[in-house]
Amino acid sequence: MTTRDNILHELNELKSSLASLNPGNVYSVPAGYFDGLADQVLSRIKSLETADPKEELLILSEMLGHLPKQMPYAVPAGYFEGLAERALESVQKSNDYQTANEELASLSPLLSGLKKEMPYEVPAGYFEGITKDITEKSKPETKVVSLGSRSWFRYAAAAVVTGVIILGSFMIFNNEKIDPASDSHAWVKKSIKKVSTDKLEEFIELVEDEKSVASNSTVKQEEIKELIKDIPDSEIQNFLNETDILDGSDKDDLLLN
Amino acid sequence: MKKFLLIASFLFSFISVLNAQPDNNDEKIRDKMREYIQQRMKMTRSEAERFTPVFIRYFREWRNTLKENRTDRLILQQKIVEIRLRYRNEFKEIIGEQRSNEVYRQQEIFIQELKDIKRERMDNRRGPRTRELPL
Repeated sequence: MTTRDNILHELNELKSSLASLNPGNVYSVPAGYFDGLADQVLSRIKSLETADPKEELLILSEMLGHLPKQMPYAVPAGYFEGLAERALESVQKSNDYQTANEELASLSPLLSGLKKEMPYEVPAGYFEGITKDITEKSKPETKVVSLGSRSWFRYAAAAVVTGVIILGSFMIFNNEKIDPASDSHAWVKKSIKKVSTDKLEEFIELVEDEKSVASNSTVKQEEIKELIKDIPDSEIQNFLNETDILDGSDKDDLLLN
Repeated sequence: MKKFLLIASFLFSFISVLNAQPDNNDEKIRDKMREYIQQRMKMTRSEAERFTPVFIRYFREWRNTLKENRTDRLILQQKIVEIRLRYRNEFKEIIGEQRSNEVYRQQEIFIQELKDIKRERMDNRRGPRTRELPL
């Protein structure tokens, strides 16, 4: 099997339309195409090299080159003078000639029936001062409110502002500084002025719980005196000195308070 | 006129805001206590700024401990001491070791002042009478 047969077989298997095509030449030229080809190409080249258009035209086409340079058509002298008038005259003389009004009447009786007068009119000198009038009218009208009739209102407003300023100044500048280092009690008193007594009591009650276990002792002072009557004062003082550090009254050691 | 009223109301609001105090009484006492301690201990602005948040935490914890341990005083005292020791370390970082204990001393003085003021108020309610001044 030749290579060509193999290719055809393969194309058939692929069901390609190429397999059914004739393998002959698909292009053709007219008969005698190459007979004068060389002369034609040569003459084209020569025409490109010519300096005169007439000579070039002769090389390309002898027929066109020999044509005379005269106008084949001619009009009589003065033909175009009065052409428009003559054309109009000939139209007017024709049988189906109509004037503009007659034509409009035939096309639209409604339009031809309308009057040819301007339906609107303006007074004399209307447009002379129109710019000024429009400018004046286009200005927005501002409502003028007179305050003269309501002077009490101004005084009242001024009084309110003054009052607020005075009150504000009083509240700010009357807030005199107290140094807690020099007058602790006064400082605290002023600071908690707005805290209610109930709240204060509640807070203190809570803090009191932290204090010494013995602070709420119900043992009466007389009973204690009776119990320690035989103990000398110096011994009591020594004992107190020794236990002082554990006593909540020692302000320097509040960790044990 | 509207301008006048607007300005007036604005000024009034501004002054009200200036004089505004915390609504919560506990917070008011806490803030005044903090302010008192800061001023009495002459803290610098920088120290005061760093001290404030720590003190607020301390106060909250101290307060909650007081509320939650009312039945057993010894346990309460122990817990208070624990809290104070813990916060003393934090205060130490801000105001130094020597002044850290002073915070608690000033706190006690403030509480004592509160007690005195409360007593004064109670006396004023009862009406004018002679009384023994607290030592």
